[in-house]
Amino acid sequence: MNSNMFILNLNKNKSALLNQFYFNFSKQIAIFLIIFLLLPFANVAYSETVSEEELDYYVSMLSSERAKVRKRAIIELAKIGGSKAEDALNDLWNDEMVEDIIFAIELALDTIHLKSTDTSTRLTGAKEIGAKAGTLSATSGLEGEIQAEELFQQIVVDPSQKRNVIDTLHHALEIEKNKKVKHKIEEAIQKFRLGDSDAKVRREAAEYFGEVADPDNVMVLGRALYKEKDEEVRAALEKAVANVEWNEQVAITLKQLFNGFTISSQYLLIALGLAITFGVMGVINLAHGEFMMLGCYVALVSQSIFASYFQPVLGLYWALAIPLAFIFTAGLGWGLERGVIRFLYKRPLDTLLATWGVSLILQQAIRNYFGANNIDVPSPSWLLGGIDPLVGLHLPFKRLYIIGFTICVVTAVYWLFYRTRFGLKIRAVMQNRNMANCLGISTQRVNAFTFALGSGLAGVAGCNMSLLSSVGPSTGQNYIVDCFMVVVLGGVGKIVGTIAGAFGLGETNAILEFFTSPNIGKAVAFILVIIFLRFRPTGFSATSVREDKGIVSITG
Amino acid sequence: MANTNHEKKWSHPALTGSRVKEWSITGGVLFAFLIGIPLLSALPSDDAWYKISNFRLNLLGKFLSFAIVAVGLNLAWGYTGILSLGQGVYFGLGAYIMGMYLLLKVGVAGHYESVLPDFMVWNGLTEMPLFWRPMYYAAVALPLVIIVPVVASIGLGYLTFKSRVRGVYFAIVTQATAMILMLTLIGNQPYTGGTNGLNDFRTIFGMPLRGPDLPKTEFKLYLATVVILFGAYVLSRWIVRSKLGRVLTAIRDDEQRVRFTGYDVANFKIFIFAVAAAFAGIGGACFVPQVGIIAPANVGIVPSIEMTLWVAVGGRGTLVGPVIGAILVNSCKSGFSELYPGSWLYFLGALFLGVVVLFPQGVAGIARFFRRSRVGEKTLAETTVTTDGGKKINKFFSKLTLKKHKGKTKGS
Repeated sequence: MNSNMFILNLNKNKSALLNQFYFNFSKQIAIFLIIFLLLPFANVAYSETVSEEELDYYVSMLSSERAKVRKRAIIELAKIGGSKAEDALNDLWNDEMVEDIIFAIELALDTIHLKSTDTSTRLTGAKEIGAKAGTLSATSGLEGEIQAEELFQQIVVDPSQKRNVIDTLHHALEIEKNKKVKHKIEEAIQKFRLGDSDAKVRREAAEYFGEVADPDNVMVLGRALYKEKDEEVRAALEKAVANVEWNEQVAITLKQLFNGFTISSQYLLIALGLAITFGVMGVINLAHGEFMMLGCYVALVSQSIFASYFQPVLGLYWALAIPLAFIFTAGLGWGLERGVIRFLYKRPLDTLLATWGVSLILQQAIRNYFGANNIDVPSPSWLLGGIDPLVGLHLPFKRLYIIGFTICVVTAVYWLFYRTRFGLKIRAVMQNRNMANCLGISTQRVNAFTFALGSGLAGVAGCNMSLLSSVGPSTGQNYIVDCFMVVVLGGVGKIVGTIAGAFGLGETNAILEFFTSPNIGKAVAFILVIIFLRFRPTGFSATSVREDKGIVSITG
Repeated sequence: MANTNHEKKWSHPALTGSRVKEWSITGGVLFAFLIGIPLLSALPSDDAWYKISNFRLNLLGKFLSFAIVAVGLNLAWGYTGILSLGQGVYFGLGAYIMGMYLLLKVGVAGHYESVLPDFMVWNGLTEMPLFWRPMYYAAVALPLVIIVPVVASIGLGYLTFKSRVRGVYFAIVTQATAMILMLTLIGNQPYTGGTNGLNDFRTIFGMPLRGPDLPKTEFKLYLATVVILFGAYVLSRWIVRSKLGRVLTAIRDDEQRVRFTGYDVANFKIFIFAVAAAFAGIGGACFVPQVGIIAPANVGIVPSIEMTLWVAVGGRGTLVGPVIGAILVNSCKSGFSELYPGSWLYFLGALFLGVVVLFPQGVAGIARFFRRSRVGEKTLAETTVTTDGGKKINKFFSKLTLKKHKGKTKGS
């Protein structure tokens, strides 16, 4: 390799990338100067051309006392890459004290990550570079007072390293296949361009961010706007910020609606059981929330069983939890109906108090056995993660699963009610108990079965609830009033009514919560439901229900 | 009463004259006892067996303010069949208004030496909120203790009873109102004190609520509570014995029939629900100075349901029952909480189940059972309140409709 030529070349150019210091250095320094200069021109691939010897040499340079030497070595190691360089840099990062160099090491590590074969490592690398690029661009032109106002120090990055990083980014962009990583790399490049000295480049970058409109970039744009002097670039930046803010609003609104949808699904699952039992028997089970809470604990227990005995297939614990929760709570519900409630059918108000007593006992039992604190149930691994249909809008699989599950359950219940013989019996009892009894339907069996079914649904809902929040003895109480209001709003006797009630309340709640606070939002939603009762006492489903259930149809 | 000669024919216990007399004896004994306790304790001798400590007396005073709520709830539930699981709302409204009045009397003596109550200062308020301002004056605050719960209950009653929402449905709606109040109180911390509620009162009507003279104030508050409770008792007795009371009982036993006879059932229900709310508000106002704090935890769903338990344990549809029930349940509660803190909820749950399934008439029912079985008149099963009672009242209504009493009773 013709090293002399390059040295001469360097000498003539007085390149902005190098300073006098390096030029005066010995032969060894010259070697990396050559490589350094070769890279941008030839776009050589990284590590293949570098021998083990060189790598060791740079690693040894890392322990130099002179900061500039260390810096050089870092830049070179970043170019070489590989696990050995990464380890060496990590070691230095632990000991390094100089602010600038720490930054340089981090940047170098990110650059190495960018070359990794692992997609997620590349993604983090690109993200990290993007974040640092934002900081760099934001501070690059700042001086004096402004800089102090910005509250963070201006970090000086060696121009050569910056150049190297940008080149690596460009190269990575070309060979990258993964869309997400590609996007992040592109973003990092644009962030560097945002700090460019050329106004045109800055404007282009600003326009790029205006198109992407990712809420994560709003800080970077804001800082860029803060120091920008050029009118055209300012206009582009302002437009970009406005775009980002609009997108953010849209994303937040959609997210709120989606969350409302998830909660509504949960409401639906719990309230369905309540509405069925109320429709058939005219009683409300105040322990319904506790059945749901027990469902949560069933999920917890099955998780811990799998964690200790079937560790390799831990994610499958869900397949045990759901049926187990259903059977367990349905059994309890059956026992409650046979043991207590059937004696109180003539006194529906007393049923409320009796089931409240049951709920207190269940709560205290759980508190004694599992403790009063809330416990997190680890979700099955296959439910982690999510999809991002829009920038800034993340839809977790957990919530999508809950929505899907609810749709399945509601379809199943619908089928049971309207397509099976037993459903026919249930509906007959719901419409006219005495007549159904006369026609040979065992109303006792129908009672017990529907109560067990409703309780089982609550248990399954509890299993799903463990995905959304931590589980405690009072989990049931937190949701139960909402579900009562769903029954009130939706009316009884028709599944469609309950569906409408659940989504009506859930979404109203979500929207009000957005404009006020969670507490006030809920309170206002409840008040609206009560006012709604004045106009439609039977709720959404306008079927005429028998008078003795407490709500009265116009036909009486 | 125009129908005195019919009284013996109406065999429903709540309507018979002998029943009311029976309860007036029990009530008299009870109130003599309640007044007697502190008077005996006030005697100068030390360590006498009949003396109870200031702490216990204050505790009893608290129970009696609960009893006022229970007497009101009993009118709605025991006599009219309206189960409210949200009586804590009206209790809370009365209590908070009283608390606001007491807090404003603290003046600049608070921790921050500001005109504003302490919690407003550390929540960053600089000006007294508008709805707090009238509470400076006892002449405004004390009537509001009754007016606000009454207005709130009429509002709820209008929205529900007019749409013929009743029974279990109404019960869960009232439970939602308890939730609404709790969420509102917690959600508006700068104005309501949030979860901490209102506390740290100094004086009431010039009497100190802290310091060495506290027992004297507590003694007077206790007496005042007994007097108010007695007033509530007498009023509820009057309502129950009037023709209005008979309509109410009829509504409990067969609402449809009463409606078909020409009564506007909703108005009766709204009226009695408002009376119950007024009692609850007064109970709350008695509660606050004696306990020294009112917080969302005292007015939420759980305490609201416990209020129904007081009535159920004492015996719904009896006049003295709620008073006995409130004292009994709360004594058990404080006793249990001192002795076995962990098992109180088991006991409470069992109490709910037991009183509903086994003793639907509560203590009063048991007492009556023993008396009646001694005389050989009735069995426990017959004293149970069921909707079958409606059949027995038919006769009463056939008479009433013939005489066109509608206009008169409505006004009472």
